[in-house]
Amino acid sequence: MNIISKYCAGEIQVDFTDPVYVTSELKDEIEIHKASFPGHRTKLQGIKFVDIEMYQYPGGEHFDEAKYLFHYKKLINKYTKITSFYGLKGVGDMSILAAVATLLGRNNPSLFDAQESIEVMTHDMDLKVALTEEFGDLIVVIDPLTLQQ
Amino acid sequence: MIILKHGTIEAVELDNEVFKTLLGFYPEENLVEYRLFKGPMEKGSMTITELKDASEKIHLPWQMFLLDMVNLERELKNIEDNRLDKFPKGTLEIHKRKGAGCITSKRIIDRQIRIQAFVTSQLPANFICDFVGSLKNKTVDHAVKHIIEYFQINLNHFRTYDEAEKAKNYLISRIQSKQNINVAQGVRTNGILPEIKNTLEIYRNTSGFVVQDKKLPFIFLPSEINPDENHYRQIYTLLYLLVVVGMNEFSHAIENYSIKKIREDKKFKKINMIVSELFLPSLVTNTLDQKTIDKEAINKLKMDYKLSYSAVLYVLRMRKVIDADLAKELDLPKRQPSKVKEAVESAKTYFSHPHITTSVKKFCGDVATVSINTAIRDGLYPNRSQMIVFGRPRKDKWIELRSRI
Repeated sequence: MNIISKYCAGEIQVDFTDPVYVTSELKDEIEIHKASFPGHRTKLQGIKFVDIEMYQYPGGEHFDEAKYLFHYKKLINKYTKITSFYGLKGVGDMSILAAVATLLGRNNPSLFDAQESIEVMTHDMDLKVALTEEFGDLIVVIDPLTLQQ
Repeated sequence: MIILKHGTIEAVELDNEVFKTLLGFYPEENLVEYRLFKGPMEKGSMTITELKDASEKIHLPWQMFLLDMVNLERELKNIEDNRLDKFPKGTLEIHKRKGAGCITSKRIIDRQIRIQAFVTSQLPANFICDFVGSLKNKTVDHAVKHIIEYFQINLNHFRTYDEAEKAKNYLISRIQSKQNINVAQGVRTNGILPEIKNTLEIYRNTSGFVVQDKKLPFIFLPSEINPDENHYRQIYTLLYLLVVVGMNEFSHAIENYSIKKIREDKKFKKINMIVSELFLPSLVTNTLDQKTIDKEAINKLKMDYKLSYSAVLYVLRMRKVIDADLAKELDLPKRQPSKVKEAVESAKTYFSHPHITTSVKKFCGDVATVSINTAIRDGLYPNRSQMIVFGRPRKDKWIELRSRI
């Protein structure tokens, strides 16, 4: 949300031409952001947010939500620095990790078309570390804030 | 093991012990027996939709059920450590009375601690509530004078209120006027607290308590959550807890009220003497004669000085204006706490449907609300503000709240 917020405020430039897949946690955060910053609505409307559940693999199979839960449990217990329930920190970030693991078809890699690429945009250091450690070169982690500093 | 499913598809195995530990975190609520969890735990499976719905009802994030024991215990330890920090030796400073105030919800305590922790983090490092401990070495008369002057309480004005609730609100506003004491109240509106059968049992037995702090002590009054605590009783509790703050006697817990107990316990006695002197000066009661005291006279004192009937009786007995026999004769029949069903019904008829801002302000207290609203306006991370205000994620209510800030 930090990046979307900065983008809406005109502080950074990000190419949002492609659809942006979001988990339900991120979708909630975007709706809350709209309520908090009415001035950001126009820019947000220009981004094509798509529920991650709607993602279809090239073979036609849908995003596997059961697998998502499987990965979520595994990852939330592995990357404990990301989430804290006292302040409800990092649940959106954790959903990104689990979604990427699911998209990559961790239990069925043949599902994922290697020609496609997954780009994750984040400025959160703990999430960047976890993404790199967990998925290595299989994904591209972009931090528009660092790029434009 | 509990199999978590997405629809009919098995997704992942969850640990039964995690469920038991998390649902047992507030033992007084007995959430393990809550039907939305009990059934799936017996069956050994539940869907993600069921888990989210059930978690929503008990105000816990559903993701916590996916933690393993080590991580869950670490999360819970954070909360427990905060609780122990505020209530040393594990004793909760709870205003307990047989029947109407014998338990206090640890969940409410944890919620208040979380609010307090946030608000005090926003205060300057050198900010101190100089009322804390300020009554410690004062005589009863000096303590009363100090309270009146410090909070600029106009007792004559206070006594003019026809309704006890308005008199209570006047005192609450005076106590918070220096922005260094926060008065929070129990609410049963807008889903601020979970409302399932077990929690209602706890609420109707909850009386007031203090969450100590050098910067911003919190006084909590049960208000809406305990229909047995009328406004007169709450007024007494409010001032009692204020004196607890002033005496810096946070670890002083009360099991049951009784004249014997008041007389035997020095600290308890002094606190009660200050509170009763504040409300009903000895100058007034010294002029009374036992022969002229009947139920009508007590009711008149109750109305004039905004104390409950029982409190007036206590004061008269404590000051030996009346003897034990007359006190017994004038005492009201012991009230039984209302049944859950009655409590639910009374809440339905008694409370309107206030805007979310009203419920939040009442539950958080005026001082805390100002601080939280400022932080939200300044961009406090919404998830964090939801946890502070609601104790859980609540997108719709947060958006409603945000629109008024």
